[in-house]
Amino acid sequence: MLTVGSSRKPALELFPFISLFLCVIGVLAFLQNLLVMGDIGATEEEAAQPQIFQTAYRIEAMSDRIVLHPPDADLKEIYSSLNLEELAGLNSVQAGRERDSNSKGRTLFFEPTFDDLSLQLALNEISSLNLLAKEHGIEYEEFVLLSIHSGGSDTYHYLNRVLDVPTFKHIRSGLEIAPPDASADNTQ
Amino acid sequence: MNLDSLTDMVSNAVGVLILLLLMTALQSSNPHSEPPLPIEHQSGLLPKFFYIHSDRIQSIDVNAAFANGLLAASESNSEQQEEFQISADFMGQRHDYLTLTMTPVDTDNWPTFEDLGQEDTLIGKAARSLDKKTDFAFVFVEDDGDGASFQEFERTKQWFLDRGTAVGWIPVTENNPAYLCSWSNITACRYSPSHYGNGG
Repeated sequence: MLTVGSSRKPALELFPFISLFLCVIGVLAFLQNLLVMGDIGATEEEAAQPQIFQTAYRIEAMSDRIVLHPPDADLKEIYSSLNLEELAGLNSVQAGRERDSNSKGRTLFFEPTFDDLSLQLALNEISSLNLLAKEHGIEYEEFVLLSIHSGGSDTYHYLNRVLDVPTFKHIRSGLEIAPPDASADNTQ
Repeated sequence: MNLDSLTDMVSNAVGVLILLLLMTALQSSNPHSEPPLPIEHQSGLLPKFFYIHSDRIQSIDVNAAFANGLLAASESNSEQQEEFQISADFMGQRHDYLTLTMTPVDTDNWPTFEDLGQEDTLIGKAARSLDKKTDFAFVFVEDDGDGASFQEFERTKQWFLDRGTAVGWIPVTENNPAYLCSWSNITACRYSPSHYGNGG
């Protein structure tokens, strides 16, 4: 049998195209999964770490004195959430702190013990502010940063014992060696 | 089956695997940064003790200290408070079976910060034996009044931090000596690592 003018069309194979298409889809899906997993990991990591919004209330410890350095943090956010009674208390805290801040700290001499009342008032302020912030869901927390001068280690241990009483035990603390520019010669 | 298709599939699969490897490598090389505040915090890490006296540093073997303390207690006729030799480097005073205080002796023969970096010194081996996943360095820093110990501690702290090892410390004096406690809840026996940074 004779076939005239017959031409063979090339066979069209779909397999390579489907393979390529599926691979691209697979890679994209894989990338998407990785990104989602990365986000979940980061969120879990953040949740595991304590939220650090702490502000340092620095207390310098020297051989014969301590110097209180209240933070000059902006308390406006806390102000906006308070009722009148709470606001009155906070106003006096803020005023006292601004005064101390202007005079480069409040110095308490060791004679023969520190003026425990001033120290305890300062710690009470920290405690009250932290409590107010917590009650109103504000991410603000003050901690005591004990800044130790050479020769001030016994003073540090004294402060540590004060901080260890149940009233103040919940206040976080940290310690550092006083930086060279710290005001060692402050007087009241 | 066409061979080109097979090659295409295999090369794509290999590509995906390489991508997976790259992503894993990138994720593992991204270090977690510490919060930049020097706040003491509770930790599951175990303290390994060091003592800095002026420009000298020494490691402390807690097990040996308590073993020698118990030995001294068993040999002693008196009740408590007797000094005993912890090691060639420390004298100890027992307060009860769980608590003792230490005072350094013969400090001229102690290693220096430079020895800390040497692999063939005892102090270098002690420092390198710390596993940053399970241990942290806790340093008793003797306040000598002229700041030499504090300066030495700053260098030592940085040395450990550069190796990813957490550091905690406490200043000690004659009135407030270094405490070692087997188990105790007294303030002097709370050993916590700190986050370090520009606190304040």
